Amino acid sequence: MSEPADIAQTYLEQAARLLNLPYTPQAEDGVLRAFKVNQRLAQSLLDFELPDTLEPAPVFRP
Amino acid sequence: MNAAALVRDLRSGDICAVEYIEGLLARLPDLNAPLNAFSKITGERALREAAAVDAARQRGESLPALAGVPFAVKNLFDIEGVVTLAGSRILAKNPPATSDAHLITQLRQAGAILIGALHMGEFAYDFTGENVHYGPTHNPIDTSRIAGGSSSGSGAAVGGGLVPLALSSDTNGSIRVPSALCGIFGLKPTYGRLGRGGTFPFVMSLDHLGPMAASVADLVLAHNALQGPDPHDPACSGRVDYVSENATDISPLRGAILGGYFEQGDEAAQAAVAQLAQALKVNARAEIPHVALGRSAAYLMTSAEGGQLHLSRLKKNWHDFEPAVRDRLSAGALSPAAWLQSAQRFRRYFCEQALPLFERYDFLLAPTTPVAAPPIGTQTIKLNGVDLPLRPNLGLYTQPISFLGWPVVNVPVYLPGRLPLGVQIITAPWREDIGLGVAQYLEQAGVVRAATPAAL
Repeated sequence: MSEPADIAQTYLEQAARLLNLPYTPQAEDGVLRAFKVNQRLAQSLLDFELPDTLEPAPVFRP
Repeated sequence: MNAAALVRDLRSGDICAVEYIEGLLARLPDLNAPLNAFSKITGERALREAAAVDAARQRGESLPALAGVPFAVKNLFDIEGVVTLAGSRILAKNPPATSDAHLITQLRQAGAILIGALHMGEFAYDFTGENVHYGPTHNPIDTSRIAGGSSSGSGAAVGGGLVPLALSSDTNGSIRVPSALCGIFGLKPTYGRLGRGGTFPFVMSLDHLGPMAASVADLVLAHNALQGPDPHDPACSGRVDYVSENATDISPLRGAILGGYFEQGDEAAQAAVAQLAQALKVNARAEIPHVALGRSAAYLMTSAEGGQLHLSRLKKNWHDFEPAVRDRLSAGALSPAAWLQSAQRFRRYFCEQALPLFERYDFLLAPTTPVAAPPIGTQTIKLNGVDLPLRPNLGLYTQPISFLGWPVVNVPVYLPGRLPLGVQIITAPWREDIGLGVAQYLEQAGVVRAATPAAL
């Protein structure tokens, strides 16, 4: 079974292809490093249960 | 000279606007050279606007609130005839803007005179002001140190006494951080207070615009002049709440020091808050619930929304970005939608949990940055004995507050023998008047001051 790091790397490569981003993995990979920070922060938010009825916050005034 | 004093002298005829601006323009290149604050000086235009002020006075017209006051803007504001750079090389190829940003027009209508555009971190994704394309902006108090970002040129220009007033943006702390590190005053208004039309965005859910100044009186003058509806900004409320230029009685106000999360910085940052608390007779302590998660959500939204905004440029101009900016934008553009949406939903919850604090307190005090201005090139800072990357952590204390959209006044505090530090005076949404009132009191009591040299 793959380590989580490999999952993130594989995901990034495939998602970058999907969006046509000229990203190629490198030894000192800043994109992967930044992605893992996002991943860690997102996990703490996903672990925090919110009511289904909670409205998200971006501004929209029709 | 601060703006309020300058306007008095212009009204009385002691100073002629054209002569004053000519003198400033003559000194500006030498003043700017050690700081690298200005990216463009709009001299011809400034002289034209100054002549109009003098002509109005000669006709016997009453001069508006900021008549003759020179100001400059972060280079993400559109200036007619000037290319809007937003700190990037990529946008340098764009044609010049065809009109002024909304807030420039607001200040122009109050009689202020635009002097030029100021350097900033690339696409505002920065807290240091170390721009790889245009060179670092230097701190006017010690030029070997960073000015802070992303409104680095604004901090250096006001702190160095080049202009009394600058307009800037603050997505996660970009007004407050350079204000703190350069020892000046800055106002990040309530989210939706000021119109953002004609400025290059970064994260629209979080972008605020506001003034930086060398005195509280000037922040108040600017705040009063900048408000009003902006048809080009759907988030702009159009609300106008004027703040008195006279000192207000702060004795009925209830304040508290923010604890917990906001106590990770070095001792000096805590001492700066303690000094203000003592002057304000504030003893209470308060905590914002879930504040670390609030910062995480702001961080994610910045990366994901900013990444999507720049997606086409990432495809076309991959090698023209500053690597540190490109890495975070790309990571955000490639992040799953569920991550961004978790942040957006958490924002609502966080606001609902935090807002009741203002039933008990009228203002909250917190450090602006965990440390004073580090030397240019610094990569890490030590917090609670742990080495952490400098760039994101300069915004440790500012990021959760802008995420809440609450207004903040940064006031500069000088502890003996130390570089200045900033303290955030945080108030409820739309209550800029309270924060500015407390800042006015502290300035008049001599507790806070800007160490701006008398270059003007």
